[in-house]
Amino acid sequence: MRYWKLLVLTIVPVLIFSTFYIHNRIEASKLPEVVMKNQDGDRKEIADLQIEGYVENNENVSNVLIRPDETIYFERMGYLKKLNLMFQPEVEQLVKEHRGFMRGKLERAELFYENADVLIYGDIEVEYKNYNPDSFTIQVDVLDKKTNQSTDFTIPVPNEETYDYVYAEQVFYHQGKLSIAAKSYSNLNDEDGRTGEQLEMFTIELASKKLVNQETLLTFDQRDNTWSSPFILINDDEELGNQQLLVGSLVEEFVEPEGTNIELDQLSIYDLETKEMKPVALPKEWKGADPVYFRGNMLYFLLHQDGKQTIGEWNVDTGKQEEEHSFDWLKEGSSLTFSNGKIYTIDNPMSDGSSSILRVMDAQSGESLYEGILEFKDSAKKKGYQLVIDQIRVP
Amino acid sequence: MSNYLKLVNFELSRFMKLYVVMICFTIIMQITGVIVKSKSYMGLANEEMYKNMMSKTEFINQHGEFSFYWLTQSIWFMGPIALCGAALLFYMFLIWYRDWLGKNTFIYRLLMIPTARMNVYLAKATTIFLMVIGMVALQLALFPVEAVVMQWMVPVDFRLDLNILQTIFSLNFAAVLFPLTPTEFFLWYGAGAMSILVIFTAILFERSFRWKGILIGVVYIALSVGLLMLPVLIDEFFMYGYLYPIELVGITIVMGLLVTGMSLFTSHYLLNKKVTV
Repeated sequence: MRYWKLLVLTIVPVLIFSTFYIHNRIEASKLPEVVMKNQDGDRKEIADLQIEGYVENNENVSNVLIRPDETIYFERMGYLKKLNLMFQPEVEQLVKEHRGFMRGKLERAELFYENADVLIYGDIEVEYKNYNPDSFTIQVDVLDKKTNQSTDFTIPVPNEETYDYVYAEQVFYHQGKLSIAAKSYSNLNDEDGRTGEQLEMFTIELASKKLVNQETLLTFDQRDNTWSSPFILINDDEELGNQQLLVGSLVEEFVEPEGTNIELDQLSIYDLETKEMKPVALPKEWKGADPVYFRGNMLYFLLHQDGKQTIGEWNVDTGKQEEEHSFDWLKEGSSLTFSNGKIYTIDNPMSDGSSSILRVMDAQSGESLYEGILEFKDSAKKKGYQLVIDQIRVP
Repeated sequence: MSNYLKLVNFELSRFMKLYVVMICFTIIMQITGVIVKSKSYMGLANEEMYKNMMSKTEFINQHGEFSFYWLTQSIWFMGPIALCGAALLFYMFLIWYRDWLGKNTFIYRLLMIPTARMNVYLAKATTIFLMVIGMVALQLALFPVEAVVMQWMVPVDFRLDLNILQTIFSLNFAAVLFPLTPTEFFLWYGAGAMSILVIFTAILFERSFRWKGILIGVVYIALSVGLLMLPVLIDEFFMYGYLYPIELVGITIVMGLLVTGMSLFTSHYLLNKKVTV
């Protein structure tokens, strides 16, 4: 053999690398498929449902994305597919439909508003000078879906010198006006380490491209062992024109030895049209409730009472708790999400050999719209796996 | 073609002895490392459990289970990798300079062979490339062997067996050396091949223009790196993420091909018109 050295040094690495890639493929194919089986109701109810979480056993932890008819493991994805991956299905859809417009925009669904006629993007850009935030500019880009023409403009944030940082949280649109809710920070260099943090609302009239209103909705008091963060929920009722927001502060306090104690504070309803703030007074025992949804005149909270998890409904018009529905079936730790007036819940976590119940119901009437079962396919062959759900998304 | 293959085989033969030494050194060091590390872990376990009356669970809680991670962070494992990496990097220069500076100025004979001079150049590049891939493949094949040795040395109750992917994830440089998908393999090792050609071009600049050539060579390397990074830099600083990741990868591949072509063309010119023996 004349060229044996060349042959050995070519064939052996090719064989080793091929074995490595085939081995990886086989290992990835051993990960269990998750199936959603219908029990009751129309499968259309879960057509857009997406479950994010991870599947684990003693040896392995693998991130997974479950859609009604497919189980997507990142391990199985090719490199180019991974490059195209976007974590929010809403953004993925927007990129598919408006690839040009979506260029250079942050991959955060909260910064986009879309209806049949327009797609609007709003953000606050931070410019740095000597590695420090220096100036803040509101950026707006509006795509007219009919003509496929986009109009973009910028507005400097007024009194920007008073801020150390401004971060856009979410955008809202109402009657020709775009509102950007942003968290602002001042005095980051305070000697005591205290910062002044506010939730600001910037309202821009799209036709005149002018900032027509700026106000501070909430002020957060950051103390030792306490950390406050804003939450914003839009009224998901289209008939009311997405005009109202539920805003408030989640105050996390570290208490020894129990750990973190979370309380609701400054809970109010803000009207995008009238700019009015109306406080919401909840009963004392709801202090630790987790606000999850706002639709029509109803607020929905996740309540943890007596070691049980349940959903509390609060009527903002009457200022009273609605007690029509019983959520007795809701297990502690269940994952749930609200969208378009419906509640989606899944028992969490799900172990091999058992199954989780997936429920869709109407938030207002409590009527069950769909019931299904989530389980591992070929359960007997794939021992020891557990699915832990991080979140359920319904765009 | 046959001239090229002959030259590659010839170049491989010239380095083969040292290469085999490197392979043996890596195998011996890493396997010894597994044995030494396992023994010291079990020694510690015995001492804690029999002398200090610690229970097995307490010991594991305090010191952790023995896994490949203990080895990959040690000199036994990293030492041979670093040494072989340095040796191959050094040989990238030596493969040219030994022909000029060694006895009988061998380059004179090499360049006088009745074949295209580019064959000499490409054969040298291929040799380096194959040797790098060979070392990485050796490491990949060694992982399971070392895992078996570890299983012999440490009882199952004290062990956390990692599969090959978890082992790779425990190394910081893993993503580049052991690409997880075939596509990434071609991208990373394609970039590696390109780097060899760029450095060879710089060496030929030095051989052609001596002191002035060093400067030209350094500028050439900087220019190549700059060209390759250009799409990423423009997108980051002037277009603010205008390009989608897949487009950026596509454009960078085109730039890589451009740099490769530029290196081949320049080297061809230098070898045929400028290089002096």
